[in-house]
Formats: sequence, structure tokens, C-alpha cells
Amino acid sequence: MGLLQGSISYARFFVRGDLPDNHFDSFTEALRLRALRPLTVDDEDDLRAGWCNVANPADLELDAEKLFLDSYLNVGLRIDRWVIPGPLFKAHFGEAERAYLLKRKKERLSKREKEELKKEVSRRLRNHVVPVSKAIDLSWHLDTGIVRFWSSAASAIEHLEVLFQDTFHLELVPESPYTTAARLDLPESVLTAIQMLQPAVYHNAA
Amino acid sequence: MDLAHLIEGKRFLGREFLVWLWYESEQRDGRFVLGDGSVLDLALEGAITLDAGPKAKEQSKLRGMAPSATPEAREALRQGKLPAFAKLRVERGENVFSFAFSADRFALSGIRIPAVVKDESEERFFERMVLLEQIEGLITALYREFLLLRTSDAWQTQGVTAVERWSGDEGQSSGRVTEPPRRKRAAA
Repeated sequence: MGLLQGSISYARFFVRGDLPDNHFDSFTEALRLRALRPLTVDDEDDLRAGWCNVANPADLELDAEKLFLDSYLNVGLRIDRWVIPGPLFKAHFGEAERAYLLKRKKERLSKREKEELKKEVSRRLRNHVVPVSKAIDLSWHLDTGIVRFWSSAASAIEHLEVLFQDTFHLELVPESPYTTAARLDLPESVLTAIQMLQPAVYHNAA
Repeated sequence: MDLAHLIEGKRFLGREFLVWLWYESEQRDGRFVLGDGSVLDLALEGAITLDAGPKAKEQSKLRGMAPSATPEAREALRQGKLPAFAKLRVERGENVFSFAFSADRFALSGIRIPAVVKDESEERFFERMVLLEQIEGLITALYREFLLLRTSDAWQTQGVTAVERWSGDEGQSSGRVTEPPRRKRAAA
């Protein structure tokens, strides 16, 4: 969604740093290495983020043809999460707790025991559900260094920033009034003046 | 000053830019001539939200056909509230764009672009990108004009005093027929 159809709401970033000389090859390899690894029942992690084919989030076999379109690099950020429905968890945990207490002739669980039992029940219930998957489109115009990311959610952006840095060893700078101004090719004197500006006061309102 | 401080410390420029767009669109009857001589028409319409800053508890949220042209909007400005969010409509030649602008993040959202006609996905992608880059380019061209004024000696008179006079004129509007705005106030 986003790149080809649907609503156009995105967060914009600027890439700080130079592209490596052989970026088509090195980026393709880096993206392949950090493609999403689907969650398994036995994973410690509840959540995992990785790259996917922007045209088909189920496709994790990335190659240059799927990634590059002229001077654009288009890729999906996929975030998979184990989500156990609350009522289902509550019912199974209740049952597991009763069995545990009966077996050990205890009246209540300690904090540690409760945490361990929760993990065990969650892991068991993973066999009955499928990870919730969300894919967010990303388009990077390599010539201008502008990245458009089809989500403004803070949590998604956090995943993006970490994964982008790990993959490309380049920094993403979020768009803001200042960063946009800095990219406008303004005279140095104007940029310096912008850095010194204080908020205007209209009406001197109380 | 490091970049993080500059990013946070200069967010007010987004709001002042929105004030400037608002004021200038009324003064120029919506018509802007860019640095390269090209022309666009811009209007604030649909919704505008004003508050005294990101941590302000009270907001003035105005909706309607032209909420920015209402006495309530001017009053909010007189109270020291600045627009944090507004819906804009930009016409450039045959292309019409409408979108929401978030001043603190300098971000466009809910962008409606002219109808994309290409079916094939690659061509569709390029067509969408061209249109997005066009509207982004128009907004940044206007921002550049604003920044040149903002950092000039003319700012106090052409930027601040002019806006104070304009927003101090109670009941004046652009002359367009407006619906009464539906106002929503977030209580403290």
C-alpha cells in the first residue's frame, strides 16, 4: 500500500552520508541479509522487523530487480508480531495456573513463577495462531537522498531507523522545518540567520 | 548547536510558515508567483487547528468550507495561538492537489493527487512519484520565499505587523461565502 495505490500519507526523511560506489550490489546484498526472518513458535522474540518485497510482502527473496526502479530503491518494511487474543490467553493461563498450583500444593504463584508460566502458555498458544504481519512501503530516491516511508507511527519509525542504519550504515534524518530549510540551497548567511532565529511574537498576547 | 537541537528548536518555523501562507493567500487572493515565474493558487480550506504550542492544552479546531477566513480563526491568532495543522488546496495548471499540512513536522498527509491514469504498476509508480515530487517542490518553493523574508529586515513590518493588523480586523474575510464553522475546543 502507498507506493502504488491508496492514501498518500508518509513520513519523509533525508539520508545523511554518501552512497558507496557500488551501491546497487552492496545494497542488494545488505537487504537480502536483513530480509525478515519469519517468527517461529520457539522464538524468544515476540516481534521481528525486516525487509520484504514492496509489491508482495510475503516474498522475502530480494534481488535487484525487485528493489530498484531507475534511481529509486523500493522496499517493504515488514513487522511480524505474535499476538495472542486476550480471552484465549486468560482461559488457558487460568487452567495452567490451577494445574500448577495443584501439582505443587501451593496457594499462589510467586512473581517469577507467574512470568515463567505466562511465557510457557504464550508459547503453547502460538501453535494456534498466526503472527500478525504489517508491511509498510518505503521509497528511497537515491539521487536526492529523500526517503518516503508510508507510516508516521512512532513505533514503526523506530524500527525503520534501526533497521535502516544496520542495513545501509547511513543515517536517516527526519523531515522538520529546520532540515527542510537546510536543504533549500539558501545562501550561507540565510542559513546562519535561521539558526539564530527565535519565535516571532504576534499580538504580544498574554 | 547540534542538529537535534536545531530540529527541535526551530519547529516554530513550520507554524510561522503556515501563518504566512494563510495571510498571503488572503492578500494575494490565493495567487502566488514563484521564484521561477510560475504561478500557483493556494487556499486554506476544510480545517485548521490553532494552539499555543505542542504542549498547549487548549486548541481551536475549526472546520467548514473556509474556516481560516472566520472571525474565530483571527481571534485565536490574537490570543497567541498559531496554526499547527491546516488543510490546503493547491492548483498548478491543470493539477489540483489537496492535503493536510502538519506544521511542527513539516509533513504532508492525506494527499489527494490528480487522477493517475496509468495501469501498469511501474508507470503508475512513476506517475505518482512525479506528482508527489511536484507538490513537495511547490511547498518548498513557497517555504524558501517565506524564509528569505523571515531572515530579512522586512520581517517585522511585512511579517509580524502586517499579520497583527490583518488579524486584528475583526469580522473581515476574503469575501468568500462561508459556512458557519463547526468548532471543537479541547478543554484544559
